[in-house]
Formats: sequence, structure tokens, C-alpha cells
Amino acid sequence: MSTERFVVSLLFMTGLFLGLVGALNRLVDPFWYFRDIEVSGLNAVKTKFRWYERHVKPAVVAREMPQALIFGSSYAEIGFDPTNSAFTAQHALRGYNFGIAGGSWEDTFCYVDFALRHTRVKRIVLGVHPGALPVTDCSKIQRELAGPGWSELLFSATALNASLSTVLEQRRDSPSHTREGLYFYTRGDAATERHFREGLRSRLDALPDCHLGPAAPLGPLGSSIASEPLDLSAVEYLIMAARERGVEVELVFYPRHVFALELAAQCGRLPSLWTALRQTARLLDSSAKGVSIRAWEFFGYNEITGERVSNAMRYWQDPEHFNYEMGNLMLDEIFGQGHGSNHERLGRSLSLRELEQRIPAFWEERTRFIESHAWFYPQLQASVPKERWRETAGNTISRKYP
Amino acid sequence: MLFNSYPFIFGFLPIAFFGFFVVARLSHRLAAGWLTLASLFFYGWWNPNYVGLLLLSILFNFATGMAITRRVARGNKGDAKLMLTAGLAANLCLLAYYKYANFFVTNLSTVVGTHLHTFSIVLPLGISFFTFTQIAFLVDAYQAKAREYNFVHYSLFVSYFPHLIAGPILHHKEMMPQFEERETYRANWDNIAVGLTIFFIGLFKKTVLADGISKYVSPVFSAHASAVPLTLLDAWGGALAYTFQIYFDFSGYSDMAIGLSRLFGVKLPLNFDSPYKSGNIIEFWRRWHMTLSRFLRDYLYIPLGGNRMGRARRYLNLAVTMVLGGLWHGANWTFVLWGALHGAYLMINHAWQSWLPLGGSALGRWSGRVLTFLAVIVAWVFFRAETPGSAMYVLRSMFGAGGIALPARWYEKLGATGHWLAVHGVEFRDGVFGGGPQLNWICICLALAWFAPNTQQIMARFEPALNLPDAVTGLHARWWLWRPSWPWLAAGVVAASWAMLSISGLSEFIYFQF
Repeated sequence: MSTERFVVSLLFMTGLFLGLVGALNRLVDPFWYFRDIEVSGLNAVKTKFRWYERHVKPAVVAREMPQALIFGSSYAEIGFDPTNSAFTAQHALRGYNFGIAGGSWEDTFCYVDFALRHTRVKRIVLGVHPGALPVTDCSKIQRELAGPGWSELLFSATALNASLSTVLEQRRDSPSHTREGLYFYTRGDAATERHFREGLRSRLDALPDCHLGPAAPLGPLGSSIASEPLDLSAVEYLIMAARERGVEVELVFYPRHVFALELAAQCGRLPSLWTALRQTARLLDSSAKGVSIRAWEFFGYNEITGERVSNAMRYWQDPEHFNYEMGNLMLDEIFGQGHGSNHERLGRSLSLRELEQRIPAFWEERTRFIESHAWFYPQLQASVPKERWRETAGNTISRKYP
Repeated sequence: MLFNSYPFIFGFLPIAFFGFFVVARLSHRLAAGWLTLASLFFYGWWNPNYVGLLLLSILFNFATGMAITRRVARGNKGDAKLMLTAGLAANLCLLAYYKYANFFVTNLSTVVGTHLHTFSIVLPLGISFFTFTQIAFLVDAYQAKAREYNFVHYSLFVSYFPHLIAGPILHHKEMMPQFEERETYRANWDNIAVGLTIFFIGLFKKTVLADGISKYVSPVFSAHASAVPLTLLDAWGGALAYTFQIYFDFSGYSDMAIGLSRLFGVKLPLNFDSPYKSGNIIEFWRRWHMTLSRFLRDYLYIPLGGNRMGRARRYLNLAVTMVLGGLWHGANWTFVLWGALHGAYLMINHAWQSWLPLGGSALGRWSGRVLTFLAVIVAWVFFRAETPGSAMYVLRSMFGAGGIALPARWYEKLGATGHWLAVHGVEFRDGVFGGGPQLNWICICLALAWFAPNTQQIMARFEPALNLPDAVTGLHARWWLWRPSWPWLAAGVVAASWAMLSISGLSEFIYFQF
């Protein structure tokens, strides 16, 4: 073989191979980036999307410009259906779930900031945990926010591998996400009860000095408004965005199953929760007058948050990950399609005045719920290790509240 | 711009290549100018602001070299020496400012116990390489070894893109005659075939092997900062992974430089010659970063007195040379310690050889190879670590300070042996060691580094580089020697495609709990 023929053949065959790889990756679209070719049995189920959503979701949002966006960690990604009619104003707005599983507050803030800069978003639901909500440095995830390049989508071994796996896994895998970004996680799993108990145990493992039980001391129940001020600069940023751009912002503190709430109550975690809620409410009361921004809490002992643990749970996947059936109820309440009077509602928008009334009501609600649900402590006991349970005769319930 | 990037492979390289040979039909000088401009563009892609610095350095050194040569020719050695000293000082000051100023200030702050402000300096890419190349040029000019003076060729010699970012460090006398040759300006299919093959071998080493094993390195070397405990297996796994990452990274980059240059008909000096096959540390330094070793020997060790002033002075010279060689790699005490350790190794090696020369038995050779390899691994720990404390943390773990444990999943896999080990005190728990896949990576890389022929051996028929060792030039009748043939074409297509598909990729995010 002459060197001339060698060179021409080498370049031609390498180019041809790369071209074929690019065509396959474009057709299969394993990362769900192009979203235009979906053939049942070939690529309709995106089995690899869950591992790469951080790279793809920002690009999809920037390209498709949904007007109603959901942000947050896995709780929001699993729990809020972006096609909910209340959320989308009876489908007048295009919704998308920009929640990212495993996303920290820092990441979530950056996604919100990204959407505000690159889209004409009109409505935001932002799921948060009670605590500090600071403005963060987004340069760390700049590469993710910039979106994947063509070389990564078409001419990379990662894409080729993902394409081949996607095609091969069509028959034995089901979709992990909806097209609008809602994550199914373990929804429908036959082992929901086990997931639930494991979830509760892992939360308890993080609190090694805490024991649960019917009469376990409840510790300080309230909080002081004079607590160390939390950094809520991101809320201030959102107030400014809501004021300047007319964006409607709903800040939602993630709900918890009653067992997770009980764990927080008995392990002395509620005071910091109330503190965070109070400080957020105070900021909104003082700075968000006339601005379309609200904060919501859904903490309570009721039939929805107190669903019995089983493999057929409707509202919960584990003590903190709620199904979109729960999320739909929340969105309905937030956007005005809930039923019943304010006191029967699942959640409440935060104001300092309402919160001061809500805290004692919360404890009364807890007492009533436990007294009226005989399975409460036996089921809770079955979910925690023996050495973490403190049994006391009489099953007395503390009625104290601040 | 990096060699292992799509803009380089599909944009810059084809334009530079075709442009060079088209312009060469009009004028060789213009073609050299084209390649110089292309090289400056290549450099400016990273940060256009520093193209001016590179040009200023080229102008200054060319003028200084000319002036020195004129004075030497006139027999005015005194003036020439003065100019040489000024030239060297200017180059070293440039390097000191950009590379070492903050290191000096930070350490001064620590010594005097105060907080001095550091400078806001971005290290210009490749400054160590183009500065050392030109220091060598000035010394050669003083020693009347640099004869050709053509500004376009000189600019190309310094800025020539295949060597600009990561070497090799070139000698004026190696390159200028090649830029003068008419053959260089004529496209040659042999050169293109050889150049492309070497480039793709290098690209494969870099993107598939070095980048592939790199994922096992960071968790170990960041363990100290994040207070993650390291078992013996974790620490050795990380140290070995880095040992092969840097090997295939540097080997790959050296191959790519040689291959790219060969496309333009220019041969670069060999820079990398299977260093992990070395039987001792002296040999290691003849095989690892060969052009830097040559520079340090010719322009530092020998001027310091070399081995001409007694054993003690020789050892001192070795130590000074290696410590400064370490510092050349970066402004951090870890590099100083790496250099000092290699200096100590070299002293021990020289002392050993003078007392008890090694025999040539297979056992002796293999013992030497294994011992050298282990010593090199230990030194790499300092080279990779962010701080001396972090290096010591990894090293202590390599000696068992963090306990000895095997991955938990191996307990089941090992069956009765696992049970026996557990009974005899071996723990099974998960750390940062990547288990079977990491072990496979390490074994494959070790086999390639120790047993596979290297690029210049594979390409021996076509004299791929300058300064080839005799072991390469003597190779002519091995079945695996490269030739333009169908099997080599198939191998080339696989290597090139695999390497290019590995250039970029999205990283997975995996969560065990949210």
C-alpha cells in the first residue's frame, strides 16, 4: 500500500466512522436534547436522561422558553407536575419542571438566576428547605448552564455508549421523566414501604442522640424571632425580580410526612424550622408589599401528610419525597383551585401574623391526629431501630406548646 | 488551543497545513511566515493578550543573540559575556515575575509573619518552554554554536506550535537547518502518513488512557483536604493511577508534537522513551522529558562544575540541578520536594554504582526496574499533591497508616478466601478505591508501559524523531514495525476514532441519596 493511499483511506474511514456515530447519536438522542425524533421501541424511552439532566435541562429551558417553571431539588422534581392546570393557568402557560435531583440550594439558585436571564418566565414555583437562602456563586456550574456542545452530543464515546444502551434498554426500562421534566423516581415501586422505612431510618441515623417514643421529651417547641438572622439574600433577589419583571414567585417549603415531622418534633428540629419560616415571613411582610411573591408552608398532621405507610401509598414515596398527587393538591391551593376554608387547607401562605397563630394550632393538630390514629405510634415504632425507641407506659402525648 | 480539541483538529490544523504548502509554492520564506503567524494564532487562542509578550521575548532574544554573535565573531568575549548575562537575567526575571512572584511573596509573608499582598498574575502558557528554548539559544550564540540568523525562521523556531505549549525544548541548531531545507516546503506523503499515525497514537494515549485513568486520582489526592480516610489500597490505587495518568499524558503530548511537526516535514527531538522501563534513576532521567534533562545538564549541571570537582561537589551539583528542575515545573513546595527527592535518588544511584556496579542478569535488571518504578511512584505523590501535608497524608496511607481494607464487595467475590482474610484481621469496607475497574486500568497501563514497544520503536523504519537511541535505529525486522498496510490502517482508524470520540463527553451525575 502506498503512503498516499494509506493517508487518504485513514482520513476517509475515520471521518466515515465519526459521521456514522454522529448520525446514530442524533437519531437516538439519548440525552433528550433535540427532542424531535421519538420512535417507539428504538428511542422513545430515554433510559439515560436521569444521569445527564443537569447538562440538558438548562439547554431545553433556554431553547423552549417555558413560561411557568418549577425549581428545586428532587422533592420538587418528583412532586410538582408542570402540566398541572392551576400552575399553568388552565394551560395558558407552558410549564416545565427545572428541578434537579441532588441539586443543592446553590445549584437551585443558579438555575433560577439562569431562567430569569435567559427566558421570559412568568410564573415560578421554587421548592426550598427552611433555612438560609443566600445568593450564591454560579461560576462553579457555569459549564452545566452553558449546555452541552455538539461534540459532546454527537461525537463522544459517552453519547455513543448512551445511544447503544438506550436502544438496548427500550424493552426493559420505563421512562424516568416526563417530557416536561417531572421525575418519577421510585413511583410505583412494589417496595415503597421498604423505601419509606429506610428513608426514615437514614434521617434518624443523622441524629445519633435522638430517641423516638410516645412520651419522648419534645424539647423547646417554639423559636425566638431574635434568633441569629439567616442569610435570605436570594429571597431579596427574588423580590426584586418579581417587582422589576413582573414574575409571579411562589416559594414553597417542602412538606413532610407526619413521621418525618414527628422525628423533627421529637429530635428538637422544629424550633429552627419555625425560625426560618418567621424570618422569611418577616422579610416578605416588610419588603414585598405590592409584589407578587409569597411563601408557603405545608407542615401539618392531616390525612394527606399522615397517609399510612404501605406499598400502595398515593401521596408519598418516602418520608420527604412526595408524589405529584400531593404536589397537585399543593399547586391547586397555591393557585386558588383548592377547596374548603383556610383552616381545612393543606398549607398556608406565610405572614408573621398568621404564623404566630399557626404554631400553637400545629401542636393541637398533632395531638388530635395522634389521638385519633391508633396506628400512629405502632407504625412509627416499626420503622425505627429498636435501640432508638423509648417506650413509656400510658402513651402520653405532650400538649405543651409555646 | 489544545491538540486534543475539535477546534484544533478540524479547524486550525487543516488550515495551517494546507496554507503552509500552498504558500510554500510561492515562497519558502512566506510559508515560514505563515507557519509563524499560525503558531501565534494558536498561542493567542488561549489568551490573545500574551501574544505580545511572546513576540517581545522573541524580538529581545533575537536581537541579544545577534549582538552576542557579532561580538564573539569580533573576538570581544568580554562584551559578549556581559550581554549574555544581561540576556539571561532578563529571561529569568520574566520567568520569575510571571511564575514565582506570588510564591515568593506568600512564603515571605509566612516567614515575617505578616500578610503581604500577592500580585494578580495569570501565568502565560508555555512560558517555561519558550524562555528555556531562548536561554539555550543565547548560550549557544555565546559558544558560537548558533550560526543561522533569519528572523522569520527564528520566530518560527521559538513559536512553532507543535512544541510551544509543552515542549520539547528545542536547540537552535536542531531546527534552523530544517527550516532552510527546500524539502521541508514540499508536501510529502511519507511524512504525512508517519505524522498522522504518530499524532493519532499520541491522541489515543492522551484522551483514552491518561484521561480514562484520571478519574481515580482526584478522590485520593483531595482526601486530605476533605478529611476522607485513606486505606492502603486507596492510597496505592490513587498513586498508581496518577503514575500512569502523567505517563500517558506526557507521552501522548510528546507523540502528538512529533507527529504534528512531521506533517510539516520537520523532525523534533525525542522527548520520551519508555521511562518506566528504566533499570535505575539515572536511566529514568535519560528517558523522561529528555530535552529538559538535556537542558539542565548542559546549561546548569555542567556550568555548576558537573562531575569535574570531586564526589561531594558532584552530589551537591546534582541536588541543586534537580531542586531547580523541580521548581521549574511549578511554584509550589511540592515541586521542590519532588526535585529534591529525585536529587537524592540520583545521589544514591551514583554512589551505589561507584561502589557496587549492577550485574546484567535478568533478575538484576528486573529488580532495578521494579525498585526504580516504586521510587518514581513515591516521588509522583509530591508532584501531584496540592500541599506537602497532603502528600504526606497519601504517603502515610501507602505505608498502612490509614489501615488495610479491601472493598466490601470483594468479600462476597473472594468466597472462602474473603472469609479467611476477614478472620485474619483484613477489613472489608468501601473507600475511594474503584475496585475491579480501577485494577483493570492499572494492569493494562502497566503492561503497556513495561512490555509494549513505544511509538518511536513502532515507527522505527521512518526515523520519526531526532536523537533516537540506538535501540530504535537498529530495529528493522519486527512484525509489529509500522508500514502502510491494511492491518495498520485498521488499527489507525480504530485508534483515531476512539481517541476523537474520547476528546469530550458529558459527565454523569450519580446520587446515592438526595
